[in-house]
Amino acid sequence: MNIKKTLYEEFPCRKNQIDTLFNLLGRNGEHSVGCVFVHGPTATGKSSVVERLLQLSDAVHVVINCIECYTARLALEPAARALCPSDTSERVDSVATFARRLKQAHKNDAFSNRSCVIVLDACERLADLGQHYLPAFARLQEITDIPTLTVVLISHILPEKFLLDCVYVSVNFPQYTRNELIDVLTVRRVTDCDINFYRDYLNVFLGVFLRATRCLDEIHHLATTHFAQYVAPVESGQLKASDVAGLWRNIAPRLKSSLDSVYLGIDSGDHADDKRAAKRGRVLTPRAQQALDLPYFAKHFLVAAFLASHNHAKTDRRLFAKSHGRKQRKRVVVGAGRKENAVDALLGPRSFSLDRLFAIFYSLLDQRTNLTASLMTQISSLVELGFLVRQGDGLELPKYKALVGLDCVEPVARTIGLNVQRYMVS
Amino acid sequence: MSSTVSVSKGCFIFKPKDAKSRKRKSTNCLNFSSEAWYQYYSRMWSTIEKKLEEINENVSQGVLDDLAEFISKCDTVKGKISSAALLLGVNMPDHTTLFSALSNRIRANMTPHVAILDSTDFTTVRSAIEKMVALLVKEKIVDLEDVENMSIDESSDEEDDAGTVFKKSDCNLPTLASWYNEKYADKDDSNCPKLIVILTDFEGTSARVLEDFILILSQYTGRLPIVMIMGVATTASAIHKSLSHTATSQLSLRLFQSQPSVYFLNNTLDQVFLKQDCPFQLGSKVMKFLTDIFLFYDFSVDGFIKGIKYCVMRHFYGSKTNLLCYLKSDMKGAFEGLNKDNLASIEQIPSFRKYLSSLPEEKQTKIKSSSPALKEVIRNLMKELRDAISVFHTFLRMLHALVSDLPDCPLGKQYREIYSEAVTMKVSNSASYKECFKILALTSKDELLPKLDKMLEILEECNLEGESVKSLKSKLKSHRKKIENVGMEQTSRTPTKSPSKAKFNVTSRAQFKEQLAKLSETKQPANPYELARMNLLEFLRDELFESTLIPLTSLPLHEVVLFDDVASVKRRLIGAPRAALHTALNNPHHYLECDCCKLSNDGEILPTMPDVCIAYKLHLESSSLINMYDWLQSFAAVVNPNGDGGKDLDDQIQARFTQAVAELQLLGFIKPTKKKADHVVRLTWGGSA
Repeated sequence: MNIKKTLYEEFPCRKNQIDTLFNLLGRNGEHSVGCVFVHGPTATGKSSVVERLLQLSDAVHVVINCIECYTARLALEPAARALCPSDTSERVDSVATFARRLKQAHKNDAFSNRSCVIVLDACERLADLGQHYLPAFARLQEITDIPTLTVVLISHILPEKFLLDCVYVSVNFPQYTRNELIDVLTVRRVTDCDINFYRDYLNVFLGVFLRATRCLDEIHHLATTHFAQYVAPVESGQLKASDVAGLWRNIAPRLKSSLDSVYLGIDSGDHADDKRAAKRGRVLTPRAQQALDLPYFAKHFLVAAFLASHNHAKTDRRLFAKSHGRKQRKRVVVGAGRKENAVDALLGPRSFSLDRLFAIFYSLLDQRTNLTASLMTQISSLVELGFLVRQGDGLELPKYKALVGLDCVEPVARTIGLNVQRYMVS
Repeated sequence: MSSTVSVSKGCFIFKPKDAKSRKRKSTNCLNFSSEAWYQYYSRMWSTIEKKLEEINENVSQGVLDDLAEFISKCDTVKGKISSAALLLGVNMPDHTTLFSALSNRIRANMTPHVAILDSTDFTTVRSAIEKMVALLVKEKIVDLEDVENMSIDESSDEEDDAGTVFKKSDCNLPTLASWYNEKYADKDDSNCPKLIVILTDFEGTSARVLEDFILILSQYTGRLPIVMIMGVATTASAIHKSLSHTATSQLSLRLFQSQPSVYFLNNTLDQVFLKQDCPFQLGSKVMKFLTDIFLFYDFSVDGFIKGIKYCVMRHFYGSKTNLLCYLKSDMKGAFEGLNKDNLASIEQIPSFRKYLSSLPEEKQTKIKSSSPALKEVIRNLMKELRDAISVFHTFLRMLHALVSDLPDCPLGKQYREIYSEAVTMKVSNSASYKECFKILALTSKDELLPKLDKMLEILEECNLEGESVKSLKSKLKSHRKKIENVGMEQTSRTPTKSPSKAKFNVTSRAQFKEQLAKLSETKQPANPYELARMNLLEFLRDELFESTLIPLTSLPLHEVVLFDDVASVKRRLIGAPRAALHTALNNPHHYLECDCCKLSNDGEILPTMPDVCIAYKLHLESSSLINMYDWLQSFAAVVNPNGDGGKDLDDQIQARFTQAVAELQLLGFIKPTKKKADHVVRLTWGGSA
């Protein structure tokens, strides 16, 4: 009971799951279920609850994060070492060897009165190693014939998506609701301040951020970084701790501005520090971060590639030919392609051939340049930078596709005095 | 022949006996290292290189400082990898120097554990992690050697540790973690050296692998103090474009930026090449060409410097006159090294001949007849030239300080722009120069004073001697004082009527307009500041810059120090594969230099030319679709002019034709088509490019 109590305290709002898991894993030495599948969205406490439970209980256990296991040995050897300590330095690089080691240990009565648990975190990654790993682990109890052995699979993917040909108990960790989030964050708060004050803060905070993310880790990180700002007027004595509305007015603009950087992982750092650095011209303003500095011809190529990718080849003559006939360019821009629009938007960038790119490039460029080797290399450097993608391997007439959006091309085009919109049909 | 007796089959090479002697001959013509021009060149370049190194260090200092501060300050929170994104600009080859400087600095001051990974290591997660761990652990070996050197007692048990340097397959994070914990078990958490992982090329790394890499590292954030530094060539948004939320939320990113690449260019030019103490001066055309390559094509400072290196080499290569372009320390040697040959060729320099012809007749003959006299003249001229260059650069810099921040920058914002304007023609005659002074005539006192201070500072810094410079300096100072003191004196100006108060007795719109025009024409009496400003500008325009900014190209012997042969540089620095291909096919004589293919005019087709050339020249005459049969007929007619041109062709000719066509297809000039039977499509248009 003690274990449960600690777990209830440490993980609020997870009572049901803790109970189930405790019943499945916590009863030491009894015959147990062969496979438990724990699933739920990221950051809902799956791994932490399981790990903590196993720590508190007396079971022999090992936790393996399958992301790390780019070879089978990385998964199996630590497991073998933890579950059946022996002197042999034998390589454990297949499930068969692993099962044999377990069996041997079982013969030596290593697990006679103790549960033995193998936790595979992010178990969907096991499929990268080979198809047989996941089914083999799921039926490990059957293979090794150890009645107390349990394999816990943890994943954010539903168990139904896996082709698990075995009996398993599935435990679901649902997404936290707003109130639950407040409870959890209150438990996990780093600063020691009044609980109610902190809950007020969380209420305000979640009002802004809940629409952007529900990931607990992210919210926790954001909440701790912004709390110092929130509490500052109280500490300096400007506002009372009970003046929630005043505090809200103080923090709201800052919260809203940082709403854009949720998940981006950009650490805004100390703002005073930033300002000082900005004066020295080293730390960037957000606008400068977006600006793209390319050589002159590369800019033209980028714009040309974008236009080639987003316009039909048949409109090229209208858009780029110096004398394109009776139609006025303006009218083309306004009236053309009504019908195509809907389909075009869904198709995404089209691929274009190299000679078309050069044709558009030369018509955008107002000066003559020879087609030199350096000019040709511009295209491959754009490919290398991830602005274009090359399709097919053929040496003759390669095809390309532009991967950049209008938001990136437009400022670039403006620096070379082009208006992209003028050349767009849709 | 016992040496060739062998059990297995083999191929034996016997060098001809005289190989050695032949080799010596061939090396003789390449043995330029002892020749005078090469020695001058190498000495010159090594001094320039030294300066470049100094500058490079200074320029990247700022970013390195920031990064070092970041690394030492950042705390390693569980679940977040502290990482820095370094925005470096698109030219990646230039970055290697920065990264090696960074890693050296980190190694020297902070932690021995640095791993530099580039995009080729990120083919799989496994290779990335193995390389990283190997590099991080490897530092230990280096450490050990230091330890061994210091204390012999400990070396025995330390060596045991060295034996456990891991196999490649053992290089994974669990081993790294246990190794690290063992190594720093006795140390405080905050004292432990951090593990720095540097990814040099973010765009090149596979996003999928990098994502897994980050996720794996994030598992160890609590145990290992890992700091990641990523070199990003484009923008910060590239990170968020290629990595998923799960990965980016594991990072705690800080953004850093190095100076934009144009800054590096300007800095290098300003500090090294466009200076009076650089003995080698760039001409405006060459400089424009090189900066164009930089701005239009690659943003590569490295490439730019290599271009200049080529120019320096070209300047000296085989030249008899340019040995005079010496370093200051070489002055004596340079003049002693002049022999008759050199003097004769110096005499042929156009600017020198012009100078001679301006001298009186008797002096000319005297100089021409005796070589000591000629040497003396050259020595004086060179000294004058050096002095003139110093004066030129100093005053041009002053002009730059004066006009660089004017609206619209008529003379250009950068020193290099104003330099390229002034080096060949008299800048004071140019329209943009006049434009500048027009704008300057409207500047306020607050704007003008700092400019004057800056100009004086430049003048102060260079230790120019000579009476004229000194007098100019004192005059400039007095002008400055006048302008500064203008506001201090009591002015006895009568307030003029403001136009709003002036009464208009008008009845019509036209009349009102007329009166307004009249009002604007009547000049307000100039106030003292305006007078002082006018005097100053007049002084600047008519005295200061007029006498000093003499274009270098008008000085005698300027060819010796000024390199402006853009044609030769262009041919070698910018490759034009299509043009070369066209020349080779159109006029094979150009490359083959055989007698049989000499063309009298461009359109001529000779039967002696290679088959592919004949086919190529014939295909130039056709339109977009080429009929194969017609082509073959004309080919046969060229190859065998005496043939009957009838239906039965020689099989040999047909085979040659087929091969030539296949070659053209391989070169990308034609391709088969399904539009029309027996036709091929022409893929190129226009001749030269």
